[in-house]
Amino acid sequence: MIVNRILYVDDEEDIREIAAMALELDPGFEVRTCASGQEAVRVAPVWRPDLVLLDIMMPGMDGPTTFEQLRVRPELDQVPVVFISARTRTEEMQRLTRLGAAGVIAKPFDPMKLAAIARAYLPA
Amino acid sequence: MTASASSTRNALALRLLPMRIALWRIVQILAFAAIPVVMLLVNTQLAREFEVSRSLSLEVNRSYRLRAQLQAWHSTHQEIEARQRGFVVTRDPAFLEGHDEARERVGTEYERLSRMAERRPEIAAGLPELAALSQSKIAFAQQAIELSRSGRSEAARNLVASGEGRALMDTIRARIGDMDGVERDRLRRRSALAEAARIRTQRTAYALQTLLVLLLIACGMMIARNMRVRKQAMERFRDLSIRNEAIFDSARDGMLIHDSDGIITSLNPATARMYGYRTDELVGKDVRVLFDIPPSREEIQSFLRRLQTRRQDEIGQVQEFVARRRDGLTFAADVATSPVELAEGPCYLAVIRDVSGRKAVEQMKSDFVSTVSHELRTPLTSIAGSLGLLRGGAAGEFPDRADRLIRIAHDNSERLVRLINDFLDIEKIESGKMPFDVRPVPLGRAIGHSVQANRAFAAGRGVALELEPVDLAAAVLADEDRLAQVIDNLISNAVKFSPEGQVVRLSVSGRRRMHRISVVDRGPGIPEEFRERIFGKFAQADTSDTRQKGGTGLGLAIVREIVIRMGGQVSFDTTIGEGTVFHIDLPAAEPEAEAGRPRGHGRRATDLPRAATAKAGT
Repeated sequence: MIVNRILYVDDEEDIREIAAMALELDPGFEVRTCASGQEAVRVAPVWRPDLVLLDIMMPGMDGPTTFEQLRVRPELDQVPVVFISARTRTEEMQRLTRLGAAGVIAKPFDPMKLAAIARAYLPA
Repeated sequence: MTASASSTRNALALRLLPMRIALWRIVQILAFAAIPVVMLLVNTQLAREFEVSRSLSLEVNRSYRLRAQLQAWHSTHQEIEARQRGFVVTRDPAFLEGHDEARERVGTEYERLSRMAERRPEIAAGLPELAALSQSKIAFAQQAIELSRSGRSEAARNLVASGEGRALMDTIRARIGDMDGVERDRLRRRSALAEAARIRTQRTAYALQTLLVLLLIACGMMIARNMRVRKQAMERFRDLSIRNEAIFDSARDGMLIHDSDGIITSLNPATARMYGYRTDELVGKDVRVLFDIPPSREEIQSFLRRLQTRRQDEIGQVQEFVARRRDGLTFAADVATSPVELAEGPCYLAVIRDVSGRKAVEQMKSDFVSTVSHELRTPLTSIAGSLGLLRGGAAGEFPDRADRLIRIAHDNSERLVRLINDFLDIEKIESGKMPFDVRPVPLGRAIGHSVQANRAFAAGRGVALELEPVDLAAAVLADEDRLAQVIDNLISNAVKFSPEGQVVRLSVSGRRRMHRISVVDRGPGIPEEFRERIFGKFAQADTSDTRQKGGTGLGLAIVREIVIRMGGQVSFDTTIGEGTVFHIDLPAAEPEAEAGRPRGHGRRATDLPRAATAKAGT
């Protein structure tokens, strides 16, 4: 069975825990979390996730900045990055997709659906 | 007097003013022009008087000469008679010395009389008789003289004693006397007439002189009045000037006046301060220097033209722009322009307000709302998330009661999420900050998606969703996401209020240039007391019954705001015990071959009625 690696980045500990639990409902997922953009930039090139779920509003390095930093790495530039945003109206989504994101997930998300949504972003 | 009555009177007075001024001017001109005319008349009268006097004195002269002549002629006859008598009595030839000469004189004098009597028909009429008498008398005298000279003294004396000679002289004297009297009377009459005429002329002259004096006084008074009026006008003008300047100078908003070419003619200190210029630095400048991105001359011209033709109540509409200070810094500003007719031509008054403060506050509020939403959503994500996982069985099975409690907690946390979303939505819409990307949206697809998205939810409550076939060509001008939000909301409400086993029907109908989307449920209907408030915020809050349905109380308010902003209408019909139908009317659009492709002028709600933006902003 192919195991997909999902990297979840969010500064909130509780949300990381919930997200990890929600994603792990899918047996084909291996989940790792990062507490900050900086950590993600350190971890991702090494761990090589198949999908990155990135919170937007984080102190220090925010979502979009982290995204840029990840994109710079050649080994990561094909990895789909999905933003998690509290604001999911059209203009926000347009702005983020223009940045190159694969998509946007609204926060708060339904934890029971998160795994399915993540799987939809993975290449078939 | 009521304000309106006195202002009516003032308005009337104001309208009559030009006529009154013109009339007064005419009167003044006439009065001043009358002075030389009157003086001329006075002169004429005096000249006439002089003429009358002169001709009278001529007449008098002639008259006396005539009378003198008559007397002279008479005297000559008397001399002839005396000579004749003397000679007859004394036979002294000395008496005859002047006799022939006297006889000749009679002729000359008679001729003279005839000439003088040329203008005297009454006198001339008597002359032939006089001539005859004269001839008789002279013949008589001659006869007496001849008798005496020839020695027939007796006969001569008898002739003289006969009295014929004396009778002739008496007659002559009488005739002369008559003529003299006639002439005298005539002269007297003429004098009287002349005197009367002279008196009349004199009176007229006096009257005219009096008139002249009065005119001069009147003109003097008019001049005095004019000077007084002018002084008053100057004072009033000065007063008004001071008042206006005080307002102009002390106003906190910037005020400037520019002409129809856009050249600034005057500005107040507030404008200068706002822009960091000295007042004199801006006078004479093009108003475009005040803009960060100056509009083109054509834009300004057409804007001013539109201002001129706008109705009174539209004057002074507020427009936002970015202003540029002298030092290059920019700030957000509002300007309201209105036309004003000045002596120098059509000008425009622009009132400028620095709204960067207000903008800053709006920005702060926006930031606050963003922050709050984030701060509220973050813990909610955790709560809803963990409860969701529990409910979903990710942490194993729970006893019944625990299950129920978890369900309650989860449902309400989800409700909180919806509430926050709705709050933020309605705040955005009402402050005009929600962007509406309006394009043609095919109705079939839009409604189909919503039905699809809500089918599971409906099924969970035992309610079926049915969509009646929609014309493929039917499309409306709308923001696709917002439209979905609206339809979702109506479907959700319909489902919540439908009893189990019922159907919620959606259909589309066309009406004139709008399409109507209808959502029909077979629920209990909307009670009378709700119908007025149903689109208000938290209208549900009163009934615990509806709160159980899980609504936020803002749903219909949001629906209404969104539909209105997209240029549509929302309405409903309801019957207690039978059901409710909600209608959304939206402007129809030409459907695109490839739906969703922008038509090149996708409107944004922020471009629409400025009044709305301006109103929301104040």
